[in-house]
Amino acid sequence: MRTLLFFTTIFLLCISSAAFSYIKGKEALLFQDMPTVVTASRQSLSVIESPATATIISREDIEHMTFNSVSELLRYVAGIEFFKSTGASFNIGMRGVNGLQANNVLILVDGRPIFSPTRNTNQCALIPEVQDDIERIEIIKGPGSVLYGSNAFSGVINIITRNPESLSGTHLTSSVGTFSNALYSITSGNRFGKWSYKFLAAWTQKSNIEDHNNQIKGLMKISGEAGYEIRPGEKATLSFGFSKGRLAVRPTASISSFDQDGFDGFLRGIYHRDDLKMDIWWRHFEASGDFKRTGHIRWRYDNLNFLFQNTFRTTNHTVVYGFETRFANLGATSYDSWHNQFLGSIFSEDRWRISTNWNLFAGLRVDYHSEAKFAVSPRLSLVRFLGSNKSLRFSVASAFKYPSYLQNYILMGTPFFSHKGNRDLEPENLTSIELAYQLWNPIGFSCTIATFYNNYSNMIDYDFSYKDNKFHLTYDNLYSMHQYGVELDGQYRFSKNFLVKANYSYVWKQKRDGVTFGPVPTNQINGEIRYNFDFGLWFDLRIHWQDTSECTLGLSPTNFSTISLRGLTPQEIERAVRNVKYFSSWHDVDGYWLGDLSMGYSPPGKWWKIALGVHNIFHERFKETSYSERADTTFTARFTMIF
Amino acid sequence: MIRAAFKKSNLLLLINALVIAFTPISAFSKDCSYQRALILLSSSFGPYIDAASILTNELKRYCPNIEIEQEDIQEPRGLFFKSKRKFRPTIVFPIGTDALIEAQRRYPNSPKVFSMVLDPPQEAILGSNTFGVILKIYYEKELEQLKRIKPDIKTIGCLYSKDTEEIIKELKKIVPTYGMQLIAIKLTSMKELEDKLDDLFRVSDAILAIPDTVIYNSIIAPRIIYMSIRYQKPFIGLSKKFTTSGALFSVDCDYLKSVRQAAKMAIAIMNGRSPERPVEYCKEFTTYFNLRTARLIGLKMSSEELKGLTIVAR
Repeated sequence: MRTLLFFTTIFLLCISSAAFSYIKGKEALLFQDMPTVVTASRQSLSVIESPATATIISREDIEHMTFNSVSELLRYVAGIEFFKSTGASFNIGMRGVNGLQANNVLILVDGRPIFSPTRNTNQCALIPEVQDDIERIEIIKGPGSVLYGSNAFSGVINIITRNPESLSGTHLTSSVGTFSNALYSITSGNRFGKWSYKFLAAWTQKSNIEDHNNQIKGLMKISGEAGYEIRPGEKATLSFGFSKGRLAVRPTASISSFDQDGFDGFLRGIYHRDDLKMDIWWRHFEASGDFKRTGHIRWRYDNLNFLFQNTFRTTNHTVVYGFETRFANLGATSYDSWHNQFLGSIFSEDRWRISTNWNLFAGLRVDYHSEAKFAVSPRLSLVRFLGSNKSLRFSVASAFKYPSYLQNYILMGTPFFSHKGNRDLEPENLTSIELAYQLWNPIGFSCTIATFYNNYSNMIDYDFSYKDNKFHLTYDNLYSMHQYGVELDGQYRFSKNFLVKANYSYVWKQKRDGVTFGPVPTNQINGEIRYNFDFGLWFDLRIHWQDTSECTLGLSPTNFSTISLRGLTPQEIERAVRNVKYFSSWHDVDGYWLGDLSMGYSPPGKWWKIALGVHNIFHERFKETSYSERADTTFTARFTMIF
Repeated sequence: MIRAAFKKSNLLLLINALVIAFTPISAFSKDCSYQRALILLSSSFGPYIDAASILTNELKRYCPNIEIEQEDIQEPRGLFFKSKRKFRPTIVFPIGTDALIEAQRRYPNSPKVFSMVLDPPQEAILGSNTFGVILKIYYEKELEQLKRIKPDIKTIGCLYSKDTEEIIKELKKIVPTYGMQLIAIKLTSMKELEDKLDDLFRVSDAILAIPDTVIYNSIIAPRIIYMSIRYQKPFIGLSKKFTTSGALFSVDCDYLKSVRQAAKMAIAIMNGRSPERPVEYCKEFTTYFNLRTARLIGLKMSSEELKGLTIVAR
C-alpha cells in the first residue's frame, strides 16, 4: 500500500503542472472544430441532432489503439459484438445480432459499401485502407436502410478516410508484432492549388490459426485518389484501390474457411457540387481456393453502382433525396450459371424543424431487387433538444436485407447430398423502436443512454431435410424473433490531457432452436483511461469484459460434405441427424476479460512518432467463439516517419 | 475591443512607443545571425505548431545561423521531467496568449515578438521590449458587410459573459455609427442559456459572435448557428470554421500571414531597427461567406454582391 501511495505521489508530481490545464487564449476559439456526424442522415449534423445513435472513433482513438487491422478498432464500442472467426478476420455484430463477418451491418468506406453480395459479409481485411489514412469511423446503431438500403440492418459503420490536405505529406509506417503480425505502409497526400492527390501502398500479414504455426497470410493494398476543385464547393475526384493476396476470406460458405487467393478492387468517380453528389464506382472481386472435399472453387463478381444524391432546403425543411442503381454479375464454380442482377432504389428523408426545440426526421426508401423484388424502409425520428448540448430522441425504423447470391443461386451436390439456392426468398426484415438520451460535451462529461426493441421477421436460414436416402439443404424465410437491450456510454474529460471512457451494453435475446445465431454476450463492459502529456508521450489502457455468450452454429456443411462423399450408412445417418440437432441448439461460449495497453511518443513538430501496444493482456487462452480462434497476448511496435 | 482597450491607456501606449522608438536595441548587432531565439508555444494545439513552423522557416531564411529552440509551456516540469538544457535566449517568440503571459513572467527584460494572440490582457502587451501582431476581430468590417448584405437591419444582438464586458462597451460605441442598435444580453450562468438565446433571437435582427470562451465554444456555437437558421437571422461568426459550419459570414485574419508579419518585425528588430509601432494588427483578412446559409435564411445575393467574398459551402 505504501509503495502504491509512493508511486501515486510521484506520478502526480510528474504531471502536476501539465494536468487540468486548458488553452486559456481566446484565439483557440478561431480554430475550433464543430463536432458533426454525416452517416446517420447523409447530411452534416451535430451528434445530438442525429436521427440515430452515433458513436465516433476519432483519429486520436485510432492512433492510440495500435492495432494492425481495421476491424479491431471496433472492439471497444458500446453495443458492438466482436469475435474472431480466424486470426485475420472478425465477426462484428451490433445490438444483439452477430453473424459471419459482420453480415448484419453495412460497412462503408467514404460511403462506398464494401459488403460482398456472395454472402452479405463485410471483409474489413480486404479494404484497401490502413490506419494512417483513416480520419474517423462513424458507427450508427439501429436500422439504416432508409438511406442505405439492403444490409444496413442492425447498424452502419462508415470509415471516413483522410483528405489530402490533412495528410499534407508522406507517412511511412512499420508496425510489427508477435505471431508474424505486420503492417508496412506508405501514405502520401497533398494539395497543390486546385489539385490534390493521395496515394497508399501497404503490405499486411497475420498468422491465421490459433497455434500460430507459420501459416501466414499476406495481403498487398494499393489505393489512390486525384481531386480537382472546380470552384469552392465544387469538386471532382477519381479514385481507385485494390487488395490482393492470400487470406482466409470466407466469401461463400463455411466450407470455404481455408486460405484463398483473392482480389478486391474498385474504380470510383465522384462529383460534388454543394449538396449535389454523383458517385459512380465499379468493383471487381475474385477468389479461388483448393478445398479438401469439394476441390477447386473459383468465384467472382462485378458490380457497377451509381448514386445520385441532392438536398433541397426551405426554411423549416431539409430534404435529402436521391436514387441508387447497381448492376451485378456473379459466377462461381458452385453456382448453376452466371447471374445478372439489377438493384434500383429511390430514397428521401426530410428533417423538419417543427420548432426551436423539436426536429422530426421522416424518411422512406423503396428498393427493387431482381430476385427478391420490392422492399420498403421507413424511418421516423423525433428529436427534442433539452438544452444546448443534450437531446432526447424517439425513433421507429425499419430495415431489410436481401438474400445473398449464395442463398439465391448455389447449386452443389453429390448422389447423397444436395445444396440448392432458393430464388423465391423474401428480404429479411427488422423493425426497431429506440429511445435515446444524448449529452455531448467533449470538454467535460458526455453520455448516451439508449434502449431499443428489435423485431426480426422473414429471417433466412438453412432448411434441412432428409428424404430418398439423400440430404437436402436449401434456404427459406424460416423464423421471426425479438430482442431488447440497453446501452450506456459515457466519457469524462478531466482535462485536455486526461480522458476516461466507459460503456455498458445489455441485450436480451429470444432463443429459438434450429436457427443460426452468432455469439452474443448478454452483458458487456468496456473501459478506457487515456493520458496525453503535452510533450507528446501518451498512455492508453483499455479493458473489456463480456459474460457468457449464447449462440447456435446452425448446420455444419462440413459434416454434410463428409457424409456425402462417403455415402451413408444407417449409423452415419443417425450421427448426422444428431449433429444437426447439436449444432442447431443454443450453447455458451465462456465469458472473459481482455486488456490492451498502448503507449506512444509523438513529439510535437517532429518528423517521427512511435507506439507500442500489448494486446490481450489478461491472457487465459480463451476461445473467442466455440469454433474458432483463441486470443494470445501479442505485442506490436509501430514506427512512423512523416516528411 | 483591443482598440477600446488601447484608447483607455493611450497615454501608456504612447509612452511605451516613444521609449521603444528612441531606445537603441542594444541586445542586437546589425546582423541578425548568431542570435538565440526561443519559440514559446502556448500548447501543442495544431495551429500553434503550424505557426511555430512558419516562424522557424522565416527566421532561418533571413538569419541562416540563428539558433532556435522551441518549448511548449505546458510541458511537465515535475520530479522526473527536468527542464531543457539552460538556454538563454536573446529574443523570445511567444505563440498564443498563454505563452505571451509566460514569456513576460520568465523573460521580463528580453525582447519578445508575439503572434497568434487574440484579445490579450493589457499587462501582457505593455511590458518593455514587447512587440508583436495581434489577431483582430474586424467588427467595423463585419458591420459594414452586414449593412451591405441586409440594409434593413436595425438591431444586432450579442450574448456575452462577465469576461467580455469590455468588448460590449466597445461595440456599444461602434454599432450606432452603422445605424444599428446593439442588444447585448449578459449570461450569468449556463442555466440561463436557453432562455437568453431565445430572447436574443426574438429581439435581434442579426447576431454577432465575440471571442467569449464561455459562450462561443464548440458546443454552444453550433446551437447558435442552428437557431440562426431556424429564426432566419444572420449570424456573424468568429472565423472561417464558424462560416463553414453555418454562420452567414466572418471576417478572418489570415493567421499564417500574421505570423510572417511578426517574423518580419522580429528580423527588423534583430537587425537593430526599431519597429514603427510595438504592436501591429494582422494586415490581411478575408471575408468568408456561406451561400447555402444565405439561401436558408432567405437572402438573395446577386453575383455583383458576392464580389470580394470568399464562398464556402457548409
